[in-house]
Amino acid sequence: MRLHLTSKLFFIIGLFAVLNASANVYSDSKRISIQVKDVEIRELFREIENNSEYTFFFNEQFAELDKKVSMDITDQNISMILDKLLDNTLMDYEILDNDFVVIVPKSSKQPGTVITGTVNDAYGDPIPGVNIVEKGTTNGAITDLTGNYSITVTTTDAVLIFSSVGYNEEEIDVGTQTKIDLILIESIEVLDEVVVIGYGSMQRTNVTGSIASIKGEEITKAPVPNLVEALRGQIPGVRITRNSGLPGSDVDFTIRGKRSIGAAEDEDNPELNVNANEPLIVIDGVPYTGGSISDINPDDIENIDVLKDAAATSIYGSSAANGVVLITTKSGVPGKTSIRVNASTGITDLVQRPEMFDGPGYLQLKIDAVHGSREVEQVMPEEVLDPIELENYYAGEDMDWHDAILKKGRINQFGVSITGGTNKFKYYVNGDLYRETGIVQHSTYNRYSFRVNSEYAPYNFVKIGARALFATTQADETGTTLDASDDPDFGDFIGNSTWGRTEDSLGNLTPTANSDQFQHNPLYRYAHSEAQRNKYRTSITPYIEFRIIEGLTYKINGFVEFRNERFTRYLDGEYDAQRLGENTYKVDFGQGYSYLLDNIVNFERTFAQKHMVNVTGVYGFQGNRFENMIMQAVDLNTNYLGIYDIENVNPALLDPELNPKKSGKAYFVARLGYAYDNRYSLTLSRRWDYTSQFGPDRKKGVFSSAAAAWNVHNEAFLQNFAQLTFLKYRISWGEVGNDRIPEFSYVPSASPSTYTWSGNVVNGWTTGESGNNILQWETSKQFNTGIDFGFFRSRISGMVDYYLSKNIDLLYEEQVPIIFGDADGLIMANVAETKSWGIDASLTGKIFNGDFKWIVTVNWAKDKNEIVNLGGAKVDEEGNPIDDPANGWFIGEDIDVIYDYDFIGVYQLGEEATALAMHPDKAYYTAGDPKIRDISGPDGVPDGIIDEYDKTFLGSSVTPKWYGGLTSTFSYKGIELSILLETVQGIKRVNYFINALTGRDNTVKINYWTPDNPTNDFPQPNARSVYDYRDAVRVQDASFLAIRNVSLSYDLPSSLFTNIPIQGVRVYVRGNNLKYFTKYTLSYSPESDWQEYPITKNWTFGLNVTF
Amino acid sequence: MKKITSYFYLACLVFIMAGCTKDFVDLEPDDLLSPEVIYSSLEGIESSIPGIFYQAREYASWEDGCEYKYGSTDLERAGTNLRDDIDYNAVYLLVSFDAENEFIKDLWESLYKGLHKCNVAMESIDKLELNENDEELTDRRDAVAGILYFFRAYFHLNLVQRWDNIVLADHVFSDPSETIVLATKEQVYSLIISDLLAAIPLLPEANTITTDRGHITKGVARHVLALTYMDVEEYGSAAEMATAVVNDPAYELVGIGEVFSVAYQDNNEIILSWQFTQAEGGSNLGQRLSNRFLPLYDRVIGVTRDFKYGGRPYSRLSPSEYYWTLFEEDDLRLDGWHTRFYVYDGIAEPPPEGVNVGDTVTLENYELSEPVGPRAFEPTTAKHHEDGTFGRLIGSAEGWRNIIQYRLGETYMIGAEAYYRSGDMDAALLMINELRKRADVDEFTTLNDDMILDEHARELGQEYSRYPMLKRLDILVERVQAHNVDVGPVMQDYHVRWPIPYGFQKLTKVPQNEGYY
Repeated sequence: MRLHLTSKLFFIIGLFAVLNASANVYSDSKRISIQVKDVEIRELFREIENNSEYTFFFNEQFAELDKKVSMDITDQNISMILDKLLDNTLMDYEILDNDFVVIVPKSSKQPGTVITGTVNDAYGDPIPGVNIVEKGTTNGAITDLTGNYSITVTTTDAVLIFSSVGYNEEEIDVGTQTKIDLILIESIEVLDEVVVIGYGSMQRTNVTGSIASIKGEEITKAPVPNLVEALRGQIPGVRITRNSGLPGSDVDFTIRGKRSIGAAEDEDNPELNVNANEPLIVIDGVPYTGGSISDINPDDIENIDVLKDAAATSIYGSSAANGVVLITTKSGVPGKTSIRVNASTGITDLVQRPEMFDGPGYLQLKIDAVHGSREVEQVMPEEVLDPIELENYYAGEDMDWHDAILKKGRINQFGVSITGGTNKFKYYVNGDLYRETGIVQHSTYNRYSFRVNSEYAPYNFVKIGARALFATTQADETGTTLDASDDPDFGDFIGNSTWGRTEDSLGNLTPTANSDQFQHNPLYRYAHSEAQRNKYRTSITPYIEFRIIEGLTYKINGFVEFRNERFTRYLDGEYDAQRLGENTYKVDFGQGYSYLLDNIVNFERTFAQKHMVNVTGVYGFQGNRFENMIMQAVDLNTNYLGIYDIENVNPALLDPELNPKKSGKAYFVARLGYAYDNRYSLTLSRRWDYTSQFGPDRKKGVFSSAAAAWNVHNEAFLQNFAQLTFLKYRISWGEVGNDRIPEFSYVPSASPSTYTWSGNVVNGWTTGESGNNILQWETSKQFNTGIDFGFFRSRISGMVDYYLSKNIDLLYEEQVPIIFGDADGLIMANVAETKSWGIDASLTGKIFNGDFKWIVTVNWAKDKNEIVNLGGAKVDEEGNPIDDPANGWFIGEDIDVIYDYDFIGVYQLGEEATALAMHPDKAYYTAGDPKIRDISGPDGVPDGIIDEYDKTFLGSSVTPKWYGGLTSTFSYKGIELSILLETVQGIKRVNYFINALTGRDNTVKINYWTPDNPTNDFPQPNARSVYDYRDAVRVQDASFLAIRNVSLSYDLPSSLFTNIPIQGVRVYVRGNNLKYFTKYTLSYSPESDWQEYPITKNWTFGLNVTF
Repeated sequence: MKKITSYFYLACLVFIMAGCTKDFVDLEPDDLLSPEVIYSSLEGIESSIPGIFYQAREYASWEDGCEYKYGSTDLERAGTNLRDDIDYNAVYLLVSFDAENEFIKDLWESLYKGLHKCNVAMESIDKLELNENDEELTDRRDAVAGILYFFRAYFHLNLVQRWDNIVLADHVFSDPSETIVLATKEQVYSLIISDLLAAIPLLPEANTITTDRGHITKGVARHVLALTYMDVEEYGSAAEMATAVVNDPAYELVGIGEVFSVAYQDNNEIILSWQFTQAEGGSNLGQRLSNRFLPLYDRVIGVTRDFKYGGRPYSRLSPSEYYWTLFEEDDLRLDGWHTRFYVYDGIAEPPPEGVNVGDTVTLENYELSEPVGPRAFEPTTAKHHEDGTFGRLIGSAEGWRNIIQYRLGETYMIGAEAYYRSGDMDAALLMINELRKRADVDEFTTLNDDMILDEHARELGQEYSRYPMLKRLDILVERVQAHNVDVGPVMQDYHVRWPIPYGFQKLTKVPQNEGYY
């Protein structure tokens, strides 16, 4: 081993130095005579040894030892001999007190030498962030983004230690070298990486919980402004759906499916919405408590760790039952300042366009609807089209409303980040601009984000740092004003008549498409309205960390955030033709702040090389306060001042609201981790949580967990099993809580009321919500077990987890008989119980390694949930749990099961008698009406009559049978192509895009029944009434396979930039949400609702330059 | 030593912070008021009264709520746009009319919320410790108690008339384990009568309150008591109560043109009206009755939407053809209270070719801008018409005129029927002929059941009282089958009472009304 001689020498030298500390012989006075001819230097040393008291130590690998020399010297001292001998070599010498002569490389005698080089991985890709430390000193450096480093050595015989997470550590003897290029070999275990686990981090090898990690760069491959959306399809058990395509809007996501049944929505005030199943998001140790996650620039993300089981999440106690997402933002990289400029531009468009009936098709639907409502021989267009429609019909001018309103959207992004610093001070600064114009008019979203993350280490026992963010978004949401509420209501305009128009003959926009006052012309509405949303978020996360003794640190992590939001909506006096002259105003100003302080004590040390102990203790508190003021008014005023005209409104018509929102939490956390010999690990944790969410006696909750892991591959008996790289078995149990309910739900309250006498309003107070003093947390008891494995030097690796979760005391608004007087017959209570279980798994294969690389990762998950009981009132006489059909909840079924009739076709001509007999309560039932499966009757057997007994479970609208993703990455010499597919299978939805078929509105193109078209697909249209079993008929399979994103990038060869200050250039093309393969084509996507802003796809082209 | 000191400081810090825990979690809501504060004082209980009136009026702010009182009788049929109100469509047309109907649930809950508020206030009054010698205080308390008794009766009466089988809310329900049972009709009516009898002495005379007709007075309570006695067939008592109201100097029959006039909406014929103003809560708290009965007349080319026809039409309901057959042509009520014709005005667009401005729309000369059929210009009632007086726009769906709940014309009808049924024909004729005199039609000289029904229709058609009347006479089903072309074909005997809302019935396990499940 070339590396070890120097270390041995140091050891021996040290030993002798100690033993002979008192000897003080000055050997230099000894004279030596020597005559040799053409001998190797090595031989010459032997010769001197034989003729003197000196003993030589040298590294046999010095090439110059073979050099032949001649020498004729008499009575010279050793220094003179060696000076002469080694003069023209790279060797030097040192004479120690005890007559030892050490031959050393010449340069190592010169502290101050600058060593540079590049660190690459086995595939030739640079590794940024490699830590380089001069052995035995605190001197260090880090490789930059292109793998380059530079370090000035401070000692003779310097040894550099190169280390980086996920790679084997290397020690290099500097010797005479000034340029050291190095290839780091990936550590055979991914178990080496460091995982963020909440209030600390841990080596993967000792982690006992179920934690999935993803790097920032994987997120930026999806060109979307929302970092959660960018995770789609990448983590087993994490399911992300985008219901609205509005630029900048949020996504819904769950970790391991749903377990809570409660939710509260406030249409007027989204700040008050509560989604009980939402995972907790923690950014740099701080729970994200309000507003949209779109405010965070995905480019700032270093790493995301998803905590899935209770062993991992219970450290976050009361709000962690639905999983925790830990987001770490980028830190400064010491070394040469690196400037990275990233610019991209792209287009957005509908990802899926539901096909509508065209002009003739819609006319036929209208005619067929009249036929369906009465016996008519022949129906002429004149009878079903109004004069406006007729004019266009005669002119042969039909129209497509999608064409009329939609356009291509644009995305532009520009960001500059600078990172650099020294070992004492390092920084990361990023300024970023994201602009998106939507696919409808007046729909834009601009985000400006600025982040500074910096850290200063004045002494080696203290670090001070801060992470600061300023982000603002400015959105024009006028595109959502199709409806006078805040509902985007796209479903409405697509039902407009294909024979309508948007402009009259003079070119003025018309209020409606035709004479029907409800067929609003979206272009007209946009022209008479305005909606703007501005958000400002400023936060700083300062921290200070002391190293008290070795292994013991104390860290104070603080956080303060200020948040402002402003929404205005103005509909002018012509917006609604029914309410001419009536201007509608809405102003919603909100502001708030959050703070947090965590005191974190961590002790980590390994005893006797085998016992690793990791103890964490936290005391922390957090508080949130947000207040928004909403003012709405309707008045007759000028059209010229827009929203600012609100100050001229009749004060009696102003409808102000001031909504305070506040919560607080304090907690103690203790965690003990113990690992023995890298084989067995154990983690115990407990959190004592106090929250403002519950009444005086219920504020405190305690959450515990225990988990163990076994690194089977480190066992002696497996050492000869070469194919196995690693194998780890994990098992855990824990309790976590959920307190996501509207604030102060436990407090009884009176409600204000009004009445009028003689035109005068009289205010009063009356009974309101009855409150519930014994409200407490939902508790989720979770069991998890799983294995992580890798074979063939990790060419194949993966994991499989199984979980079982029992969720009790679920919070929801329990329906009580109205006689008990709660405002809406609903009382928030801890009553229900569900259980959920599932499997998530992933498998990665490095199919080709080398110049051409191909890596495939597949992930797969299945979640099941079922309602166990619905508590208190929902039991029968024997105490058995019973269903709650009013809420759509059934014992033993999925929380979101669709309970309806099973639509099996359409009654055909000749089946009229059967149709009537099956539906005795519907005297009009006949051919063309829906045919429903006769499943049961009062006696539990089919009775030939369709009634309530025939309802059945048609599948879940939220929980799929399984879902997963596949990532395939090819790379070759700087070119990388990555493709991500996602699939969701076995899910049903009621497709509201299919409308009432009365002919009044157009609808998506479906195959409906007529006497001449005896299909079983959809019933007959009827101008007089909506077909029966409307929802049952529209239940459709919404399974899909989606091409989520494609990223093709090319790193220009660095040889191009030898003489210019550019380190790297990358060009890329990326696409997001490109295509759905689904049966659910009559919609904007199989994941969105019909009233929502359509879902988009995008393609962007970008350039990334590093200086 | 240094280390120990730093540990000490650390420990201190942790303990200091631990002491603050309460500050972070003991938060009080800023915008919630405790009900205890309200119900522990007389002032507070008085302030709960508007909320009770609100509950009685709540139905009127719902579209389907404004329709329910006129549903399924022989005097109405469906308007052409009724299909737009999905829930009410079911209630009215009885197609898929079942216990899961949202509107039925809403109305049921609204009425029980009112009862809860009455009972909470009543029990709180009992707990008040007032100085019984302070007359001003005890008078105020009695005035409140009178209103509470009245409304408890009013809500129960509305419930029992539609559902027959209801839970008697004679106390505050607060114990979730209490077994909930249905009361017999006798129990319900007995409580209604005793509540009204208790209310009357506590309530003020009509003329001691302001001129508006939105307050609860002795007259209101007596009128409701008369109706209640009719339901339980105590005709003598009903006649007595009706007579007391008729003799009350606060009330008088007014001219045909004044009864439903927007300008005189607090006229002396009104006994109780639900009151509205735009300032109270904009369109949310407006009433939705004003345009329920208007056909889509503005779809006739050449006829412009106009307040004289009632503004924006909704066409949810229409008077039935049978209703029009009941009038003699010279009955003042026919033109006074109805819109019978529409006239081409040519304002927005010219009339069709060959038709002049000023001509009447007929089956022979009309053209439509939307294919809605000739029912677009059918005649209708004008009793609920509202113009722009109270801030209504020509395109408004809502209005702010008061809704007449009880008026003296009805008292005369009750009186006449009560005397007739208790055998006093002379007194009955005296009562009914007051109405006929006002309508300028021949006075009756004798009476029979049909004459009473027909006069009731002419006087009170498209007001609220037809349904309870037909129901108490047990002729609802046969009359609807005979005269309502939309509901008749599907009306079955069990439809005579409404289904108990599904959720309530499942939660309390009370038996469902027969015919529903």
